[in-house]
Amino acid sequence: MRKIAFYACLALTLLLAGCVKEKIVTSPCNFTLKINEVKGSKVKFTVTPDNPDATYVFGVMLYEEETAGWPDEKLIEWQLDWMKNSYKEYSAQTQPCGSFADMYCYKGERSIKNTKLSQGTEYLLLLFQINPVTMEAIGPLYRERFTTLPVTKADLTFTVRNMGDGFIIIPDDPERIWFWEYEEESKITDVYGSPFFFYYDVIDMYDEYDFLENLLCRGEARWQFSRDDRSVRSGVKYTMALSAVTDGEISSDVLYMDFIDESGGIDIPYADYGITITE
Amino acid sequence: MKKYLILTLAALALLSCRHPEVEFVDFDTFHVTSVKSADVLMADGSLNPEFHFMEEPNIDSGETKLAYTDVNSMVRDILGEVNCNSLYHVAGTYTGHDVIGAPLTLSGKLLIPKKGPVKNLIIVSHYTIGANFETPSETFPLEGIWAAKGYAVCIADYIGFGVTADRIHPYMHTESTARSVVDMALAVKPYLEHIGRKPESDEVILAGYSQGGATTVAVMDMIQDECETELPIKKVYAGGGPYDLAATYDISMELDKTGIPCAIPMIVQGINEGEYLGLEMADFFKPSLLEHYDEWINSKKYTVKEINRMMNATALSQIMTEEGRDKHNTETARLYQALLRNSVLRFSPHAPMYIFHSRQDETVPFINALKAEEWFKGYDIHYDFDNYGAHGMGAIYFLTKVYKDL
Repeated sequence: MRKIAFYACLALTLLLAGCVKEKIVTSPCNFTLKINEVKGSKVKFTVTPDNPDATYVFGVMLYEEETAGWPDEKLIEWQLDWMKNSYKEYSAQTQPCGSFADMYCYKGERSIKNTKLSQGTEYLLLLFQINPVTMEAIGPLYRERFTTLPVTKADLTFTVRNMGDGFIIIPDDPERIWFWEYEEESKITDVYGSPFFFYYDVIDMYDEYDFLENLLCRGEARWQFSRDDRSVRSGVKYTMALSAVTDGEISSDVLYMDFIDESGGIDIPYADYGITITE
Repeated sequence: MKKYLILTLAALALLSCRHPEVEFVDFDTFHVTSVKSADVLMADGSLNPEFHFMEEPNIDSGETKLAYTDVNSMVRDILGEVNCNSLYHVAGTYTGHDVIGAPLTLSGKLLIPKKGPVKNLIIVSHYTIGANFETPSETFPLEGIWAAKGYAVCIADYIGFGVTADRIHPYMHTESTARSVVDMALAVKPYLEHIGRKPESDEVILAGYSQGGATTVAVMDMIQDECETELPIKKVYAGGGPYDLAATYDISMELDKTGIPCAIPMIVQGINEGEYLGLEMADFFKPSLLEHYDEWINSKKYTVKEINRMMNATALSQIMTEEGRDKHNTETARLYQALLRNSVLRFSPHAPMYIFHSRQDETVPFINALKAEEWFKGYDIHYDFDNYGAHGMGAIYFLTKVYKDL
C-alpha cells in the first residue's frame, strides 16, 4: 500500500513538474556586450547578463548619416517595431507554439554571430533588456559600433569535366584557394532561399567549426559519387556552387551549375558563364 | 489525507489489470503471427524477470527529494503500469530499408489505447539502448505512456535491434535511422485502418528524447522532404538531443570527458557504417577499447549502463587515440565531416516544435540546444531550457511535459 501511494505521489510530482512557470524579470539588470571578431561579412559577440533569467534582444543596423543621430529611445523603438510587427503578422496566420520571447529573445549568456553583412561597412550593434510579455524595453540601450573588413575580389573561372560518376573540377588559376558545395535545388529554395545564401551558409558553417581549411581546394578537385557521396538521389536536381575563398570569405563571383544523376550518367542542364563543361 | 486517499485509489485503479497481451503481426500483410501475454508483477509484487522494460535513462537517485526509495524503479514501474493496463500492444515487422537503401525487414512496437477513439499517431524515435532485450518491440518503452492519452504510438527498433539485431546499429546516422522510423509510420497507418483504429486526424505527432530527440528532428526533415502529404505533421517534441554532432565532438574533446562513454564507440562505428567511410577503428580507439568494443556494443547483450561500467572511463584521452581526438588528422577529418553531415538542424521546420533541454545535461551537452536555437530562431518553436537536472532526470521532465501538453 505504501508503495502504491509512493507511485501516486511520484506521478503527481512528475505531472506538477510540467507546471513550472517561466521566470520573468521586470527589473533592469546589467549586460556585458563584447565584440569578439569582425570579418568581411560577419560579426561575433558575446552577451553576459548579470541575471540569467533576464530576457534581451539584439539587432544590427547600418550606421549611416540618417540613423547616426538617433537617440537610444528611437533605436529601441526601431528594433522593437519590426519584431512586434513580424510576430503580429505571424500570429494573425496561425496560433503560434512559440511565444514572442521564443521567436526573438534570448536568455542567459550567449555567443552570437550575425552574418550576411556588407564588407567594409559601418554597423551599429544594439542590445537591450525586454519584458517578453508586454514586449516593452527595460533599462538602457547597449550599443557598439563596428566596421566589417574589406574583401578583395578577383574573377575565378572553372572547367568541369563530366566523368559520368562524378566530376573533375579545374580552376583557371591553379594557385587560387577555392571551395565548392552542392545541395538539392528544392532544399536550397526551402531552407536557404537562394543558392548564394546556401553557399554562404555552408562556408560560414565550416568556418565556425574551424574546419574550412580541411575542405578548401588548390588546383583541381576530383569527386566520384559512388565513392565520395552515396546520398545523391537519382533524378533529383542539385545545384553546385563554386568560388574563390580568402580568410573564410567568398572572394570571387559565385558560379552555379545544376546537375542530375541519371541512370546513364550525369546530366548538366545548366552552368553559369564562367564554367566550361567538357566530357 | 483526502488527497492521499484519492491518489492511492487512482493508483489502485491503475493496478487493477495486469495482463498485457502482446500481439505479433506483420504490418505489411496485417497477418497476426502470435499472441503472448505475461504478468508484469509477480505475486509478491516484484517485477516478473521474464518481462522487460527499456533501461530507464540514467537517473541519479540523489537528484530527487523523493529518493528514499529507488526512483529508477518507481518511474519504471509507474510508467509500466500505465502502459500495461490501458493499452493494446502490437509488436511487428515491416519492410524498411538498410543503410544503402535496399529493402530490409525491420521491427517495432505499436501501442494503442484499448478503448475509445485514437486521436493521432505519435511517431516516437527511441533513446539510446545497448541490449537487444531493451528494444521497443521486446519491451514496454517509456514513451508508451503517451498512448494512454488516446494516441497510437509507434516506435521503430532501428536497424541493428529487434529482428535485425545481428547487424551493426548505424548509431546517429541520420538518413538510415530516420528512414526506419518513417518506414514504420507508413506501414502502421494502413494497419490501424485495417483493425478499425484509424486515428481521427491524419496529422502525426513526432517525439523523442536524447538519440530519439535528434532522430525526431531528422524524421521531421525527411517527412517534409518526402511524404508530407501521407504524414502531415501537427507538432514535434524533441528533448535532450545531440542535434549537432560536430559541436558535441568539439566540446567533448575540449573538456576531455563524456557523460556517456559507450556513445563514443557507438558513434564512430555507427557513422562509419552508415556513411560507408571504411575507417579503421584502430585509428580511433585505444587498445583497451579496441579489444572489447565489438563484444560490448555489437553483441547487443549489454545495456548502456553496463557498457559504461565495463569501459570504466569518462576521459576521452583514456579511450580514444590522439589522432582520433584531432579533427584535422586525415582520417578523423573524414569522420568529422560525416558528423557535420549527420547533424540534423539544417532545414526549415514547417510545423510547430517544442525543444527541451536541461542546462545541467552533461550526457548530451547543452551546446546542442543552443545550436538548435541558433539555427531555428524565428521559427514557430517553444524552447524549454532550464535546470532540469542531469540527462536522465531531464528525460522524466520531458516525458511528463509532453504528456501534459498532448
